[in-house]
Amino acid sequence: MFPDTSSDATLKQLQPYHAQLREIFSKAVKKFNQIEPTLLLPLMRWDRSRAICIWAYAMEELSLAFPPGSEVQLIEKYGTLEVHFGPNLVARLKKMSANGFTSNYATRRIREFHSADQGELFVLNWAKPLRIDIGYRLNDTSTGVEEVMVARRKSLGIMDWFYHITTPDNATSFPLAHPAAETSTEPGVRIEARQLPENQQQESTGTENE
Amino acid sequence: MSEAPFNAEMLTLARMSRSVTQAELAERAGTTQGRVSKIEHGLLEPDAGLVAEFGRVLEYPSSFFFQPGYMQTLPSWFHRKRKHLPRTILDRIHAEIAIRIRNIGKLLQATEIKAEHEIPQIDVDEFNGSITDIARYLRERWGVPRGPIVNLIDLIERAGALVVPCDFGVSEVDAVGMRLQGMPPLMFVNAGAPTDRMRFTVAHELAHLVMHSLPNDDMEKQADLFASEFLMPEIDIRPQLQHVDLTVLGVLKRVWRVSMGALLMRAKQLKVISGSKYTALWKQMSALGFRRREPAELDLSPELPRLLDSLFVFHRERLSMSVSDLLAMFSMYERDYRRLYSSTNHRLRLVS
Repeated sequence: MFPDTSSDATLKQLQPYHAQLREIFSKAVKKFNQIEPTLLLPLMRWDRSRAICIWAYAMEELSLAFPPGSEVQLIEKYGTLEVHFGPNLVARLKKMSANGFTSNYATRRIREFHSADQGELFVLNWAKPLRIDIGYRLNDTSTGVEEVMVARRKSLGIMDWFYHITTPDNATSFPLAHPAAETSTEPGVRIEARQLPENQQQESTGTENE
Repeated sequence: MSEAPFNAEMLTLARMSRSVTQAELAERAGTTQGRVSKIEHGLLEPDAGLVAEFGRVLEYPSSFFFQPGYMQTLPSWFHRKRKHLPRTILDRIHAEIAIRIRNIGKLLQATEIKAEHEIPQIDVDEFNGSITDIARYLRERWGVPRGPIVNLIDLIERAGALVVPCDFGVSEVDAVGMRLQGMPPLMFVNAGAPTDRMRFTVAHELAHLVMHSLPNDDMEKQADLFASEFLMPEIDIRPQLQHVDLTVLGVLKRVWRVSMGALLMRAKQLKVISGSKYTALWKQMSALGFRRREPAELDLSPELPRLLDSLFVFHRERLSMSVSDLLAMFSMYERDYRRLYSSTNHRLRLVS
């Protein structure tokens, strides 16, 4: 029996987890943006460092969202976490472009992941699991998640389908870490009673009365 | 009736502060425009009944019109830079600043501000016309460490300037700085402006206070250049402006506490980015609406002036003055008092 590889089938299967998936990326981006801005600058300057940092936070959030014993299993493999939504659906979390592709260099493992006939054993090897990417796209200033998408490729360079979990209309952004506008604690300026000539002290208004 | 003579300038000031024309005032006070005009020009003295009517219409106590002094003029460039604004709006802002100046003058009658530094007056020629050198010199003179200025308002107040938050009611007026005889340097800033914009404007006005005791044709460009170097010193920011895009500008905004637009212009000013990249980024920002309003999530925390607040606290706590006393001293009603000083003076309680 061949698995249903349609987007409708995947959507139906993932629907119960959509909120959690959105949350994983939202929180990851939020954590990333809470890095102190001077430290954040070099990470933000390069797409690669930005993606790796957010990915690392996403892995952390993923582990928190689906702890051991959950219906969704996380399997550590090749230095990443594969997300198993049952025996027939495997996902990885990625940064994505607007058309659902990722920017990975085409290694053998990546080719295998997207290959229709990849031979890697799974729990039930009679039904090859559907392999999908669940990814995010940042907003224009990388301060929030513009959209979260689910994509399936037929092969490395051919997109089968993708759909959005979020749309730009409900894109999320967060309060960011800002250096506080610290006010000096040392009084650099002070106010004193004006010293008036003695003959004016009686007449002046507001003379200090201590 | 006060023993002091009626002061025609106070009538003009009160009328301008309410954006009321002479004709409107005349109609509502039951007199003629000609009579109001003559009174404002000092050619006629109003009787007590008419003064009371002026007070009723303009919502000032009669004592307001018997205050001595004149209406403070604003720097010549204030009006020149804002020619496109209606005259009534400019007059209202002018009048409001003039009233604030009068009130500050009254607060300072009994107090003195002792500051750590001062805002010097520098002749540009002393620095061979190098505006950036003047900005660097001032940072050094004030002991500002390298890198971003975390709180510009605090720095300026430590130099003895009074920063006065105002609600000008229009976004076109960000700040007005001025030096007046017998007073600390004053800076009236639009409290409604975003922090990044307010900081650049304050640095711009600081430049005027430092360099422009006399106006010149290049003064606005000079003030912008000063503000750029003062807030974003070339030596520190140049390497950070390499390879900028919107994302990097967003982080730099949080680091340097200036707008993405100011950073982009600085990158061009320092020739760190090409003209085409500069144009492309501006277009991108325009398309996203960032030129009107930069992303809310990048809004900076406010920098609140404290010195004016301290002056009020001093009067309350050290001079035992109630709000009622202050209202009498300022010759204004409580509503105006709350409107003018609510942002700085929230710790004062009304003593009935």
